[in-house]
Amino acid sequence: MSKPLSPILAHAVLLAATAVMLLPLAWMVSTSLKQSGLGMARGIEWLPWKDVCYEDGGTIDVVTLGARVHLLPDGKTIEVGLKSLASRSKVTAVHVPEGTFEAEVIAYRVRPVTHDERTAEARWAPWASVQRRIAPRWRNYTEALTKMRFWACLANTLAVTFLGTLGTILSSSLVGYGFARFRFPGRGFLFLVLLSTMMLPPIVTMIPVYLLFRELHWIDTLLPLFVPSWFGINAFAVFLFRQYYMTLPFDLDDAARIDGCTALGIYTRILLPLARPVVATVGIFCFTHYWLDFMGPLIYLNTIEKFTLMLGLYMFKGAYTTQWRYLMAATLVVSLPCMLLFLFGQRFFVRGVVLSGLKV
Amino acid sequence: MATGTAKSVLRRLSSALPTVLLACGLVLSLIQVARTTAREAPDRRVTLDFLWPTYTPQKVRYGEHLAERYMELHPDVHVNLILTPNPYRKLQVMVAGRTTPDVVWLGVGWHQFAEALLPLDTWVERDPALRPGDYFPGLWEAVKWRGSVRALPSSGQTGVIYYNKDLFDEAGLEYPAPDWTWDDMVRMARALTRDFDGDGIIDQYGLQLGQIYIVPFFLYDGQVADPDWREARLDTPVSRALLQRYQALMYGDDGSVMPTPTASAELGMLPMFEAGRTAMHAASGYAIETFRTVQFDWDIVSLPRFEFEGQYYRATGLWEEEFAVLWDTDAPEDAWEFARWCAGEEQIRWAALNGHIVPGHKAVAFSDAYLRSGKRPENMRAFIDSQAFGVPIYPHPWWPRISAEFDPIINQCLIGSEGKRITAQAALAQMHHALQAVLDEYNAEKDR
Repeated sequence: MSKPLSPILAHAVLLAATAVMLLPLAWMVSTSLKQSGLGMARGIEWLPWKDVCYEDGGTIDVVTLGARVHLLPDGKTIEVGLKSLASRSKVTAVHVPEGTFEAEVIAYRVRPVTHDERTAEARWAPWASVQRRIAPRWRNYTEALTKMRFWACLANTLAVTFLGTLGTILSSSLVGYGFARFRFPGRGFLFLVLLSTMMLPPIVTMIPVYLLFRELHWIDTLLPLFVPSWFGINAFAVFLFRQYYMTLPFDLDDAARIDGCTALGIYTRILLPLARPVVATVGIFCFTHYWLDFMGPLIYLNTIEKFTLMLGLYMFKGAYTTQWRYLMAATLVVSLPCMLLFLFGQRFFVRGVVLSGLKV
Repeated sequence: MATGTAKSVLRRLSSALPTVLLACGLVLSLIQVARTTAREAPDRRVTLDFLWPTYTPQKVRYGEHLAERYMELHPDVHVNLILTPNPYRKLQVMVAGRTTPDVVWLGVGWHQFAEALLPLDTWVERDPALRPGDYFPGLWEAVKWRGSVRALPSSGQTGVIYYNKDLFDEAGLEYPAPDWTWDDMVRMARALTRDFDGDGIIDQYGLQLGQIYIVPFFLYDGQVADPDWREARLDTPVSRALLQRYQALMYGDDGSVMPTPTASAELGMLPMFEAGRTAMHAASGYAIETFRTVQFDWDIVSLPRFEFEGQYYRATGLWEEEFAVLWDTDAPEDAWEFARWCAGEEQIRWAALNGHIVPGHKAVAFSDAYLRSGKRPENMRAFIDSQAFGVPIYPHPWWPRISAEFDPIINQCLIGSEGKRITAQAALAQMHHALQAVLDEYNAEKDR
């Protein structure tokens, strides 16, 4: 019999794996707070820093370009680019084509930061007057949210997500109840047909469905985004509910029937309340789906007042350029509800999947 | 007794809370849906649906300006701005669903919609104020398909080399001159490629061309195909020599001066230049908006000339932007007037001075207000001068398919691992063959 891993080792492995999984999130947070020009391409820089120069009793923001250094071995003074310095300390190693030498930094070549799309003249500043500071740029958040018209997008997304999730839960649980509790000719075949719709890529039905909504004059409204959910179109959710109902004994239905309960009463008073783990699972799935849906809003919405958050986020991702710090700031805010939902709902989520998934 | 009653009320309230929340959510959601569904019919003679991309918040502002300003000037017309982050996908669905807008903004790759666009030749001919000669000739040609004008140009973003002046100063190099050559570019790129700490990993690359520049390279001595798009012409001695040099920039015997496409994809090409990790970077005018926020000093220069057997060749990509009218429009005259106004001198001037476009109208492009705005780049003229040798990037309706044929071959040439990498010559021969096959199929279908 093999020995289980010691708890300490197991925890260490799990913690290391968790840290790896959290790295992209940490990078997202870090990038969302960076100054402009400090994206990912410098290598991984976790802290949003900036250089400042002390002068005339105050400080100004600067970009450090290079340094004038005094090579310690032969006393020669040379000018080098910033990337040639091994560190920002007074005495540091300097990489030059002839080799690596120890040197004393005398001054930095700095360029004051401007905000009018022009370039200021570079100048020399003594070593001690230039310092690197951690400076998170919180304004990235307010600027990003304003630029993407966050509140309008949020109201639309909340409406679509709420109605879509509610519709899916109600309709799927009812359809699943029918398949699980009633015997009728063709039941198996119909269930198979329903499941087969899961194999159909959405792109195949995109144009016919678009034509349908055009006939209904629903283009450029939120209706196409959630109304279908009220008609049991989510085959996976129906499948989950059916599987769960099948694990519940028929004695419950019989007892209720003896007490005079109707079929709809059995569904609303007994089976649906017992299916809370599946409701939570389907709820989390649907919430995430409607919250993150991009293709539906892209196709059906035309005016910016009706945009959802996903369309809003795309304003920072152009055809050729991406405004990373804004995109990351806005993405973080937009992802928060999904993260929180999963955090608080994971108990139901796992239980629902286990209960309905393993007893097929 | 009182405590018991309070507890029971609290219990009832807490058990009713989910229902109350659910009801509130339902009511608020329905109000929001009703609010966004209500349609107010505009009290105007005609409504024009106008499709516009939301690539950046600034781009949205540009579209809103066009719609608002036109409605101010034409009180009888309502311009309904249709905004989308993916205009081509949206237009595909709209064309298939017969819900096309009246006027569309289009950019590179517009040829895939060529057959859905209304030919504008008759209108152009009868409008004395619209002179094709006012626009750059290459740009005017770029909005035609098989000789027929399908759109009106507003912007011609040409590919140029952006260079980091601070890194040039640091390396003691002269800045690139307007008539520089490919050899000058390689020499500078070598001097600017640095492994500062000697760990074998390059910390700063001299050059970044990007795969998108492959296509213009074929055109250094001509065209991808003949003017009728019947015969592929991309496998020429000049394009072979160019692709070979391009490959050598990444995998040459004397070391790499350009990151491999894989490295570029990992780090992002624009961010590498933005962070001072590449000294020269090829891009079009779309990069200006991003680069104007960086704090090092930079400027632009036209792509270099290429010397081959004693002759000089030059080309660059042309990313055109234009306004087109759809076949299905109910108001062709009004749609034409609006497209004409959007691509007119006044609106091009407004957009160019606000940094939205590189103007395609010569009077605006050569104006002091545009060339000497005081904003970076200092040498704005390089965009304009490059118009003379700019060629459209995706000039065929089936270009998405051609591109899909080309990509794996280019990847095998530029990314494939050592043993599997194919030569420039083999790559061009394969691409030439693939292009000819697609053109034959397209022409056979159209001739039927």
